[in-house]
Amino acid sequence: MDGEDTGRGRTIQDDAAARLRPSSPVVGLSRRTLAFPQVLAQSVAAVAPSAVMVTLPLLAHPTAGGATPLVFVAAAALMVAVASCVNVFATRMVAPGGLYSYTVKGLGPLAGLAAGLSLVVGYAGAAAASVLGATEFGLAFLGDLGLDPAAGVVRPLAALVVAAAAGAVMVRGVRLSAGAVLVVEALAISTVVAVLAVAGWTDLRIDAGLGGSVADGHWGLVLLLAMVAFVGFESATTLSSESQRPFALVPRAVRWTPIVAGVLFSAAAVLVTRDGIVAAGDTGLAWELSGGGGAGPRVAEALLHLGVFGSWFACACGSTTALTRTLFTMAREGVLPEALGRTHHRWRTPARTLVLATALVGGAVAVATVLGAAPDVVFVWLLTLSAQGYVVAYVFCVVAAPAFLRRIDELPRGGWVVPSLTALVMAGVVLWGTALDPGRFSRPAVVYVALLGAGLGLSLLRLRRRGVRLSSLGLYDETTTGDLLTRRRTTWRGGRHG
Amino acid sequence: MAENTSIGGRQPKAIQNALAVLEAVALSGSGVTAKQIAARLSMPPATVYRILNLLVAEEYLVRLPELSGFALGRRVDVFVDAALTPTIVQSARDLLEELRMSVRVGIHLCSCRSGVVRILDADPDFPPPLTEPELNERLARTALGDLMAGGREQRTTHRVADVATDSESVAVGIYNRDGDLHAALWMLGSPGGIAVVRERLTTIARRADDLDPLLH
Repeated sequence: MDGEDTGRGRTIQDDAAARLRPSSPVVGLSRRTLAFPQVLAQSVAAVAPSAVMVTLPLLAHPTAGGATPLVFVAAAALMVAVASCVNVFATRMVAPGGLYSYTVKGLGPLAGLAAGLSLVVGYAGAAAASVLGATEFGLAFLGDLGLDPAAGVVRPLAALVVAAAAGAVMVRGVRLSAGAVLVVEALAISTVVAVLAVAGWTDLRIDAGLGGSVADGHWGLVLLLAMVAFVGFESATTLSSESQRPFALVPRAVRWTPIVAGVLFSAAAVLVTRDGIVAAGDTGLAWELSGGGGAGPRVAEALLHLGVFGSWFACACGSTTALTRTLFTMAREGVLPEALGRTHHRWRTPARTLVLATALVGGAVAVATVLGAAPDVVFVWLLTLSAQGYVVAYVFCVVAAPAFLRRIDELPRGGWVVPSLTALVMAGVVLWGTALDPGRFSRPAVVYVALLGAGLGLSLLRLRRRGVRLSSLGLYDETTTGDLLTRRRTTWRGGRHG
Repeated sequence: MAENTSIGGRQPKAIQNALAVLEAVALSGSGVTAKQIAARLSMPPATVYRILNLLVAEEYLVRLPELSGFALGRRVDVFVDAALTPTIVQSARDLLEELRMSVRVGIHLCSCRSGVVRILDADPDFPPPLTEPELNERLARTALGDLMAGGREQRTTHRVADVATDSESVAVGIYNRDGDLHAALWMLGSPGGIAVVRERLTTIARRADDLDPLLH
């Protein structure tokens, strides 16, 4: 019996080894270079916790009152469940395409394309919102320093500068950009936490932008916003090819980011629920600090603006990195033009894709501000569009997880329970929130659906014209001959084979 | 606390299970699925899935491209190499003998794979002053370690008093056709002897290149 088993195993081994590729299909990227802090920073930066901390608890407070921290704890729990579904894939495949490639493996190429394009909208929207956020807070910081740029003229230029700076950092290698994101994000979080803590203990008052825009009693909307606060935590998956020991580090980053963000958001919510610290301003994005005496409030305000500027800048880098890795995968598969799948020979990044993406994102923001749209309106609009992209992609991935496990015959008994409940709760929250506040969500939703439909139609048309079969989608950084223990590599055994 | 340092509770079982799964993949051959391993070991499938994912994360195992089959990963190389007793063919021995006659230092043939040095053929007249474990422990501070850490351009390295006072080492790399370092000549002796070696380094490096085809 044993002998028969082994005999069959040997044949499989030879077949298996023969079917392996000699090099990875994502060759050109800087493989296996990032350590855990850099991988974690990618996910954390894409969430932009310090920027979210001082925005969303404020929006939730009029409705949720004293329960605001609990709302964020509940949203964190939901995202931990989503993370467990993402990790079903992240522990089994290394894919720069992230959730796109995962969904292809779980639900097939059509659903995968829908999820992937949805994610592209999510990342692009988040990148644009971040560029705008960084622009606004950067200008506010300049204002704190006594420079008062004429915002009307300077704003579009500033948006282009922010986008160009982010692009320049990202093109020059993933180590540099991941390292920069790590440092900036760590500084941003510590600054914002310190300023909020000081505000909590002293009699500083914060007048926050974007406040007061969610009316009392809109529970569905509050839950939706709390959920949206966490999006981006999955983006470490797009760096899996570039991470050391990806099957260990990437799932760890995906698991911890919602927990870390949940703690930060709940703490911020506790602060917000204390009376008299925060008042909601009506327009603009930036905050004003008052109260106390002397130069204290002005210094605190400048620090806060600088911290949130850093957070948005890191988020722009994180979202664009994730966006370009997804586009890079699609280009390698033939869904997008082949030029977008090329990497720079020295920097080992998809440089052309990065330049194009940052130019489009920066340009779009600059054009919107030149046309005279109010920054806070554009900002909320972009975030809503992005949130729709993310959440739809999450639902796809959550549903794909048990389907994938079933396909590879590793679905444990009852393994579909958590994914089904998670998908149901997410869909419920989205419908409830959208139905309660159709004005805020319907117009971006129309744009979102139009973008998704156009993207899907164009890519299917392109695939057909090029004769690319749908089954060739789902490309990932698969095991190559070099990863395997093979007899060929063991030179000291007299070169015997088989 | 004692519990933190000792293996307690269900950990021994977990370690046994992990080793059993690793062994099952080795016995079954590449392409074996999680279900097959669970059946072979009569273990609960959920436990096997968890262990397989851990072993893949640590790179002892790899998933094959269809994602359901497993194979032994590159990290197992270390065990395989450790278990090997290499046979050095006569022509390689002759070549080493000739080199040893030409200079009065110890010349040892070592394999350098997976970051580990194994002494394959020690000089009988000048035995190495260190055992293999001692050598590997201080590898980063030796000429051999420099050679393994260096790039492909650096084909020889030299260190003074790296393994013993009053002695110097020279390491000459042996590269395969793809340019990968897989073995080295480790020469160890008095400063005077090593000075002679360094004068004749070009010739010795050429002989090291001649050794490469004899070692496969």
